[in-house]
Amino acid sequence: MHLQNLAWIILLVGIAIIALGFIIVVVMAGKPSDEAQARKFSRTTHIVQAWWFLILAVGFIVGSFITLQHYPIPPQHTDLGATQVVNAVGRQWSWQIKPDTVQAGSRVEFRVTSDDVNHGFALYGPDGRIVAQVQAMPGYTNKMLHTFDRAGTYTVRCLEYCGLMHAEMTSTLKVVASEQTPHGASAAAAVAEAAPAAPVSGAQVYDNHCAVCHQATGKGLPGVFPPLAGDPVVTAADPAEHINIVLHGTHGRTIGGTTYAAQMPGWGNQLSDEEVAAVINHERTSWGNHAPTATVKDVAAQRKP
Amino acid sequence: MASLTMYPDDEHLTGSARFAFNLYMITAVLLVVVFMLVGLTMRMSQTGWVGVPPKFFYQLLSMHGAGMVGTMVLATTAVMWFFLRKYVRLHLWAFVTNYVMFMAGALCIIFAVFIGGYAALWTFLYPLPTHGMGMWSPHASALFMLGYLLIGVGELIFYLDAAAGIIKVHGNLGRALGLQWLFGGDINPDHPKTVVASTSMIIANSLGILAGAVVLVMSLINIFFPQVAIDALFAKTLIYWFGHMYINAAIYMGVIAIYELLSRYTGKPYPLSRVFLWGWAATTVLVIIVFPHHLLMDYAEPHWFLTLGQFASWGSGFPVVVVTVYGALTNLWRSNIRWTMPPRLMILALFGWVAGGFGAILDGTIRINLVMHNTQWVPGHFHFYLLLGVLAMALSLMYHEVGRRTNGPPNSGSDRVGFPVYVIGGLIFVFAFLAGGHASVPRRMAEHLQAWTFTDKLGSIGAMLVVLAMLYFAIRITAGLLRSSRSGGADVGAADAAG
Repeated sequence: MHLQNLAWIILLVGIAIIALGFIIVVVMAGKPSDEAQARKFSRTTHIVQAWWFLILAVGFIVGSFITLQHYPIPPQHTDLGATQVVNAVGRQWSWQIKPDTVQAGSRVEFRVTSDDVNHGFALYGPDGRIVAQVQAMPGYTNKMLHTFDRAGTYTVRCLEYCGLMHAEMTSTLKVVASEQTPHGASAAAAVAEAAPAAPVSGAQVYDNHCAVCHQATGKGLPGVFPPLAGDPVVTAADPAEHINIVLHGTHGRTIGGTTYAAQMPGWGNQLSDEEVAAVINHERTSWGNHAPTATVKDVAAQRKP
Repeated sequence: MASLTMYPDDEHLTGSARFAFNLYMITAVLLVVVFMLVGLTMRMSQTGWVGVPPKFFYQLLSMHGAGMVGTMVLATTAVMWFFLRKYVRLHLWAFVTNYVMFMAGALCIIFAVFIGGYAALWTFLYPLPTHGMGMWSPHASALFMLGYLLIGVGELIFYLDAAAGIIKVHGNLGRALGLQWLFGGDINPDHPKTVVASTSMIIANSLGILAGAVVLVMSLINIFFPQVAIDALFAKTLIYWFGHMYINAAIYMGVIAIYELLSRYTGKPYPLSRVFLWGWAATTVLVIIVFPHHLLMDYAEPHWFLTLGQFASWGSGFPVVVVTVYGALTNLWRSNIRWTMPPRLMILALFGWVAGGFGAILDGTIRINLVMHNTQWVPGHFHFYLLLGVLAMALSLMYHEVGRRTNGPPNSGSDRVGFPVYVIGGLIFVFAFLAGGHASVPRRMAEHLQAWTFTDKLGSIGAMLVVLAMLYFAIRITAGLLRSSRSGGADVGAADAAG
């Protein structure tokens, strides 16, 4: 059973009991009592109060033991011994998750941090329910352990409000079924072996990092994030400025008569030369753009600010 | 012990005091209506029934959060003042200064949000205020924080004046809390519960406000001198200590209305007891140390700190259910009460507090927080005990005071319609949030998936009913408070209240 379902049942039953108690007292409030009844009631209430306290105290002790016996949060400063390790970095407004595929059935250690503001790293199962979460805080790496029961595509959502595109800050994590690994090889190696390195896809990089602002259509958000379709920098013959912007960021530009106050972050620290070249070339050849492409060497040359 | 006289002379408001009280309460009810409309707009936007651009949505969310919390504290500060002034000397200038500083702070916040575009929410969670990504400027954030500072300093001025008055009468804050009677001794039956509750919040909320002042000043320095960076975890810890304490102070100040008024309507004395004093001593400590329950998903915090958050969350329920609510319900039992608006609201408030608190206790459990944190479960539980708890406490005093100035405890036909509309609308509204949280619908998101919109629609319908009822209450209370007192000013006795 999902833990959320258990909490929901406990809540509903608890509130029903509370409501019943109130209803009984409210109904009885309209019935007067005589002096003898009032004296007897006064003695009884103190005894009931004492029992009520004891019952709650027992509940406190038992509940604390049940919920904390196996401490729900792993130690943060020791080796967790997980065979699968995923590094997740949040920044306004995308996730960088490496690797993005793990195996079900064995523990995964997530090392989660942020490059800018507080984010919330929440794993949603294929059924749309949260299975685990941890905060992503700049300057800290939080370690979370999770064992996936079943394979599927899990959604990573940001659950800590982080600005305008907070709702769009999502990514995916593929969980593959556990396989028999030869000669005791690690699960991570098995995943790596099963999935040979794929060429960098500019469309994928765009989808992961750029679409949240510039949109999948390349049309941007009017007045907020500029369109890339038909943009003079994206369609320029020389890709130098385009590379510079992707690597180092920009803000306050006036494009087509509109000044865009939103700050575009630089992606130089997050993306490799291959990824930058791929995404630039994707933008230069999509949505009706037909501009000359850039090379990996062109990107490497522009790395210096 | 609280008087059984319905409208004792020592509560009668005249001149400047009456004006100040009216200012507080009428401002509060009108602001509540405005911020409810803001909230309704957001819920309807999430359903798709109205189109609100995400940027504006988050501005509205910032205004709603800061506005509602501030307004709840405004109203319950007036509750505390109304009753405490009978027992200790309170200076009217301190009470009025708090109001003026609140309004100045509120104006700063309104400007920051709607002119400056500030949308970093009530939490101003470092370093988001300086990472608006062009949506808001750091200067808008600075204005927002200045607003908070003004409001916090105003409340501190009120608390310091109250503390001075309490110490003059009782010697020190410990004696005002009744600590000398915890382990024995004859309890003074006339020691006011209002003094106990007020002292508790003066101690606890002053600490919280100081924590807030520290992180606000740090954040302001960072805005103007970005090279002076702040540890994000330290900032978040201070922010939640401040914020948690501030809104909880509203509850514990608001409950003073129930301590003072319930026995007048039941006609049964509600004496001070050792158990009561233990409950408030425990509350004073627990409310200060419980705030780690906001940080349970910050694994960088020490584990003992997070465990403290769970223990204190569970422990905080004890004084509420074993002392206050239990005591109130036993007072109500077979009292032959005549149901009018003030006692209806008081009993609703107790139910809302306990039921909402239960949801909070569940969320304050680390294992459950793992799957509920930052889902709609969170606004579900706190709207439960704010809307159906704290606000009802404040409304009960307002209605009681309207009764003093009109023909006795209000119970008109429209009151008897407004009340169930409020309750039913409120329950639909909060359960829609809780159901959303159960389904892992995130909180604080402008855009919702189609799968999430069923509970959004239910919540919107509930909110519409709540707004209608609150609009009625606001008009009724404003008109009632502005009326002159009944001619002769004769009190309605306890016999009339219980008859």
